[in-house]
Amino acid sequence: MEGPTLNLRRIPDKQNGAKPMEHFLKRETPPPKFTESSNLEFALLASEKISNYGTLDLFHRAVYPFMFLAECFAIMPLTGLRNSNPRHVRFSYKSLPMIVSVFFIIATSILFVGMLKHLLTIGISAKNFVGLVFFGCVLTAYVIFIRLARRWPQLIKLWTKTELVFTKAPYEIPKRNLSRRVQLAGLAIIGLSLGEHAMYQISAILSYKRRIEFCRNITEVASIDNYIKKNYDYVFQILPYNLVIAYLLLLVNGALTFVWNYMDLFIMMISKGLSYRFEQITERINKLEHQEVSESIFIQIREHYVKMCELLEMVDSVMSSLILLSCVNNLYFVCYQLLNVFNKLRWPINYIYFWYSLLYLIGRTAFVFLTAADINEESKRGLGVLRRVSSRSWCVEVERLIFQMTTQTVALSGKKFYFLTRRLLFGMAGTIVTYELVLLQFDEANRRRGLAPLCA
Amino acid sequence: MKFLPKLERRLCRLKKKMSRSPLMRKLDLIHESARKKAFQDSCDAYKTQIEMEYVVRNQPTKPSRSNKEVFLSDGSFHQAVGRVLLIAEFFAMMPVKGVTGKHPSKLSFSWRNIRTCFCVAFIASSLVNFSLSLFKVLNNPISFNSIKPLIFRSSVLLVLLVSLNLARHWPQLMMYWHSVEQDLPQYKSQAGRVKMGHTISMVMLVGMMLSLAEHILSMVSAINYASYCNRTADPIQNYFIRTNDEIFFVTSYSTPLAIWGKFQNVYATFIWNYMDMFVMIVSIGLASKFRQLNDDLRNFKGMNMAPSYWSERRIQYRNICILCERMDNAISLITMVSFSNNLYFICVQLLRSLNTMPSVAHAVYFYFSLIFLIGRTLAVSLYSASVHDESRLTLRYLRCVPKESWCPEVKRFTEEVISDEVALTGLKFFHLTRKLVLSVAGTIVTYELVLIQFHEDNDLWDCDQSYYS
Repeated sequence: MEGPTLNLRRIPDKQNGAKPMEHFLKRETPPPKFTESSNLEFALLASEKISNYGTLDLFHRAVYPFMFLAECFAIMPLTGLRNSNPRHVRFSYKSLPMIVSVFFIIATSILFVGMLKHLLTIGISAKNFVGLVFFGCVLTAYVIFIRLARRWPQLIKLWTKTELVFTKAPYEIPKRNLSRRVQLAGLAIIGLSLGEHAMYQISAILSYKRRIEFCRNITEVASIDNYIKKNYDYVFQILPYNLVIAYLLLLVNGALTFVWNYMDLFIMMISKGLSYRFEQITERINKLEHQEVSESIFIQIREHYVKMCELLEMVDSVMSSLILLSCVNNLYFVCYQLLNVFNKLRWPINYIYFWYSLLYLIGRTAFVFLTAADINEESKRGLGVLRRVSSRSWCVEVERLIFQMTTQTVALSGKKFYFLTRRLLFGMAGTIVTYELVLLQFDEANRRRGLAPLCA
Repeated sequence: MKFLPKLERRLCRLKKKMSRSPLMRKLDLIHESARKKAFQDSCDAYKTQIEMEYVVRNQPTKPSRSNKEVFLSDGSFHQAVGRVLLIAEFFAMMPVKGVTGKHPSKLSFSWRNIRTCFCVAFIASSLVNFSLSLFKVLNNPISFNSIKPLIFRSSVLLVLLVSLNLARHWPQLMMYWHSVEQDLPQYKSQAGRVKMGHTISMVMLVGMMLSLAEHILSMVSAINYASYCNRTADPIQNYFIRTNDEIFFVTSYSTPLAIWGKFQNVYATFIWNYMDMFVMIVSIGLASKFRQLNDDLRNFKGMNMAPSYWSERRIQYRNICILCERMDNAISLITMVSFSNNLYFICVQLLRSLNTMPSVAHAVYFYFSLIFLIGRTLAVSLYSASVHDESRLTLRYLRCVPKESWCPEVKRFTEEVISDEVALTGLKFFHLTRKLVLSVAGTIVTYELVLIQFHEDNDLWDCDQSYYS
């Protein structure tokens, strides 16, 4: 119990001869706490102490590998992630991950300023704006992740407290458990993104080498130094050229690409964690079909459902900025890449890289959206069985549960401007196609000019 | 319920001492009925809270001047908005007497008041200015850009007329607001009470400072432009001719006319900003009423409350919804004008940003004013959407009502909250929610994509055609 309490509701004492079943289901209405935390407590018997969190099917354990990876890139500066008890997760400003985070933020700002200066001299257009957008998005993502990390310890403790109920009977573990699902999806995204980054480097290096081979009037030797100087010329307009800086630049570029992908990975992990619990509730409701169900079971199910909705709202308030940033980011890059669909490219390797990157981008966006929309779908799937409850088992709690499922939008949102449901994905696809059709007309003149001369 | 544990302990002791006697059985019965009664009645805490509120309300006010209560605000909307309306009165809007008083019963509107006369005189002079502007626009080629001063002055005129009408009804509105406010569960600490007042003052202050900065930058840019296109030798005369060109389109230059034109300009800019501030402030007030109710519901979340408690809260919620509707009927036209205005000006300014900037001063002014415009539009949309959001938050506490205290009152309350769309509207055409912000942004992007096709790169500083302003 937190804070000062005044005992307003008398605790039914054990001398009353309460039945063990009722005792298990006793709902202690605690006295008013003037805090944000919910007052519905779960009935955990005092004899059940959680000794080993590591064996349980918890969200904290499932996402640990990816959060550890993120810690290596200093994205979310948290400590104590290794422990299976989420009580040890801490955020502090004076820690090593935070220092590395700040270093990466400074490096990104330097790149951003360099790119901005370069573009202001050669003139900003819709085509070369994409670099600026990339650096800006990643910089904002770093800041948002630090703010998220500040609230993460409190969030993960609430999450674990809420989902402890789902780790024991009568809830069953579905076919693929949470760890398996999260890790599969995470590995797929990381693998594909590594492929995309590798292909980008290959394409750039090959184009550079072939240009030097074909052009007689270029006398420079193909070496790593020259390649880096040419590819990142906007950086070396403000910084002097140096081997250390060159390698740091490659490292920072790799880290930035990882952060760009990690935004979507993180949203995907959180969505999977939430929809997994809603799926367990649905499974429990489905098992009750054709059975005589007492009211107390429906009371319990509704309570757990309300608890999950509250968890979702808490997660949403923490993650909303990240979701908004990720949506804007994905939308912009998909629109930008689609604009270049009809462009002529010079070498086959460029075509391969372009199409791979386009398909990867569209696939990743669709996958993250569908995973997030899955929460909304899963929360309503129990309605079918609930509506077929027999008249003998019907009670006011069933009515309340149905009412809640139908009227409330249980979904993640982007700062409450829009809710991530399947309908939104459909609408966004339509909007993208509309804008593309208009924008492609603007670009017609440019495209007719064809490729720029190679050896200028 | 402090007596029940004591009773319990006494019973335990008695049980151990004596055997079961009729007295004991009677005590058992009393105990049982007391438990049932405790279950059925509402919480003691709720009762004491109601009693405290009655005590506070019935306390006679002390007339001493040096009393702390005299200086403390009681957290009502009327007091929070007092200084804002006072500033508006200096700028010929809202001519209501007694806005800075403690109680809304001191408010009064009269046609013979000096404020009202000033307001009517200013409306007349705005009408003259508007017709001069109209004359100038009709005598020049009409384009999307050239009707900008016309739209500006017509919306200012419309807002002046609407606010005069609003001032007539303002005393009744404030009295109704006060009656609804007094009925709500009161805040216990001064901190909760003054929060709304602080937000309103802060919003007003920031808004006015930024608009003053924007006006000063526009003056700097205009001085630059006037010295570039110098028709006469006197720089001051140049400046006035350029900024009030609709007046000097029909008459020749004279100093009183120039001063009148400048005065019109400054007031019109203030009123143009004030429309948005006013919508924001009313939204903040309404949202804070909903928040007051929600904060009280949060204190008793998940507890067993009596049906009378839910009935009382439902009626209070209904009262706030009716208040929202009445305020909406009063300011709907202002909201509509404000939104259409913002939409038009953002489209026009975004289109103009494609032109090359003639000088650094002009570029600084232009981008500052564009960012200020977009920021202000976003702020108005978000604050007015907060009324709708706050009204929906009640559901969060209603769904935690446990089974034993579920009654038809709670059911009715829940169904009301879900089905009723409580929001400010623009003449009932659209409801101000967060979804609207997204659709407005989409509309602006769509219109821009089409308008860019009609764009020709104009020289903004062409002296013969005044593309300035």
